[in-house]
Amino acid sequence: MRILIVDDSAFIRTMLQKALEKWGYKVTSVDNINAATQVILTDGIQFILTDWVMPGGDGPTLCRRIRELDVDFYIYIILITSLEGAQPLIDGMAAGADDFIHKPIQMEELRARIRAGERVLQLERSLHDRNKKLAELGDNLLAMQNIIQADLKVAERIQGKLLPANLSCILGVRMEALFRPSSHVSGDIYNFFRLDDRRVGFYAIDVAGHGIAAAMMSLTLSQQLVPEIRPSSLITFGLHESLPGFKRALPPTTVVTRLNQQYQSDDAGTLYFTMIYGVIDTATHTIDFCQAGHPNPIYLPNDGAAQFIGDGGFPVGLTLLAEYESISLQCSKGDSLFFYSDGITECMDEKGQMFGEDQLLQLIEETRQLAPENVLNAIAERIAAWRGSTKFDDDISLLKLSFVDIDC
Amino acid sequence: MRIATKQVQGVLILVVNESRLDANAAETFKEAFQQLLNEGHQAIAFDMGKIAFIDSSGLGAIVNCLKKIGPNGKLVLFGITAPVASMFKITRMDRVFNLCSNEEEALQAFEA
Repeated sequence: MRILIVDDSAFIRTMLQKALEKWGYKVTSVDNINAATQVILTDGIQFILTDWVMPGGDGPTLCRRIRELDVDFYIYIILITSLEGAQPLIDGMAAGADDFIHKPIQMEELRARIRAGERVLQLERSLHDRNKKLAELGDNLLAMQNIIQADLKVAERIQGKLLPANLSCILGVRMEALFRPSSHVSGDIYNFFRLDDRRVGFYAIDVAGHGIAAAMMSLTLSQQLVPEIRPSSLITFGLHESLPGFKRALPPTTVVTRLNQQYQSDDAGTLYFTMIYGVIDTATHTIDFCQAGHPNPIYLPNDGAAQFIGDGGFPVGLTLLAEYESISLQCSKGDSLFFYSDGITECMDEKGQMFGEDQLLQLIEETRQLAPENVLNAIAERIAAWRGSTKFDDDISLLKLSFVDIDC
Repeated sequence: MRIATKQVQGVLILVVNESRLDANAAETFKEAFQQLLNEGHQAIAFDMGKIAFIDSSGLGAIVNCLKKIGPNGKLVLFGITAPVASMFKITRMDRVFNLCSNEEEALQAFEA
């Protein structure tokens, strides 16, 4: 360790320097505080042994100057004093001294005090190193988080592209969707597509949990539930009897049963989903759907009150014992159906009370008097008002299907 | 997660003193259950009386327990609250699990 001796007496300087060098320290010595400040700044010496009374500025002045220096290391100061009593010690400490040694200097005492100071500096250095490492770690984490955030935004766009437009119309069935993911990516996914010359297919899926794992599963599912002629499609099979270019649409229970067989995992219950898959015959206004653990849909007939339909069903991927049935509903023009994820009914207000199925049913009944294009916005607003925020704990999706004129 | 256990007539009764079994609690619950299986328990009655809310992750965790206890073990659930019962009904889990209304009934289920 390097030590700087500041003393106007050449005799003391020489005596101290010899002793300190004998103890293994590297020593620089100066005779005034201006020179001392200079040496500290240029050589970065961290240990100072300074006399109290000196011409051109005393020891406490040097202490104050050192404490005002803008350096990122600690400087340990021992003041040499011949003054008696407590007051000089108080003044010296107030000025910034760490320790004192009284004249006449007892060399063994000085050696012990220097060692004590050395320990303090070592501790300070290890803290300093650790803080530096922590700061670097913090910077790395921040950089990493920025990368993840950027990736998530890309994932959000990819997922957004897989969802149909918020409003689309096929063969006289209009589909409108409300979608509020709880984070960038979502475990809720839905679609609405033409199957053949008269049939339209749709699904609403809620993968258990939310965030990245759920989103990856929902993406895989959306690749399988496509009406196109590709081997991975789970919803069509064989060529259509009379329509070239189309395949035969499979019944909803078959589709869901096939999914359930495929998605049994070793770690049961970790990754599974609830869904509704349905096929609408637009010529007869018949809708045939399989409910797999998804909430009971709401049916809003043109000439009657809103009502729940369905009786539950096994989620997909939980158990091979699951048996699925389909529900067939004869609709008329002007009727609507609402399929929603439990993110809506389980949405909590600030008191922890859930939005609930009954309130949703009532809300849908109330919104029937609105212009069709305003219905989903009104529902979204009511849920956000219940929540007290537009930030939700779980993904929210709602699919509204209505039987309208053929050229809607 | 606050979990308590007691032994009654050779059956381990597991009480979860939490009002929510959700995504935050699911992993801890699964680990705690695995610990009981590691200790050799094969007859477990799960007291769900305090659980007022269960989400899809929580449901997944209980199904996981049922699979892990396997055909040689037995898991009975009792005291399920109304919101949990409606979740079980909509997902048909009321047909998968052995449900009892109270501890006494649950213990009888193990005698059969």
